[in-house]
Amino acid sequence: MGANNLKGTLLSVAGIIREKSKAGQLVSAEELLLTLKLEDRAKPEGDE
Amino acid sequence: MAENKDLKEIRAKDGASLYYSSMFMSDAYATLLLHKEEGAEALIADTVREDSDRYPRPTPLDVFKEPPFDLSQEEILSCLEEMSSRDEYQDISRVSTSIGHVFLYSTKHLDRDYAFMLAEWIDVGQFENP
Repeated sequence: MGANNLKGTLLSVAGIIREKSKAGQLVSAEELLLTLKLEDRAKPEGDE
Repeated sequence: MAENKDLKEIRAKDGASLYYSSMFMSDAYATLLLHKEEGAEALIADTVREDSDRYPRPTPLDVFKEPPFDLSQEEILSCLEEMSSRDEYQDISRVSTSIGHVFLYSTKHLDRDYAFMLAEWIDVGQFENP
């Protein structure tokens, strides 16, 4: 994984945790992974 | 990373990690949510123990009907019945005030007489002696 990808993943993780906290919810590691996978799948081709 | 200092980890009793942002949630609220995820019995017991230890004060049973607990009367009664048969909750006891309201306390931190006196003050005395 390149530095840009890693930074993007960290930003996504932080964003998910903050959004969930804003909604009054804790996030599990499993839920983070699942959400990241879904986000990755939703990306258009070549947007890696 | 410095810009993510608000991201915190909290561990469940089974070792699982959960995460939250302190920008949007206090540590105390995160702990309460964790107890809620671990089950209503643990939530009730940990809340009662913390009230009995920290303040100290007995916990009105009705508090568990309010947010963020949101338990129904049936759920609360069912939890108390379940807790009464489990070893790890044997310190959770109850007293009733003179007007019939039930309070819970932990015998690890309060004795029965003191718990009753505090419950009576919270429920009746403070309103008669403003």
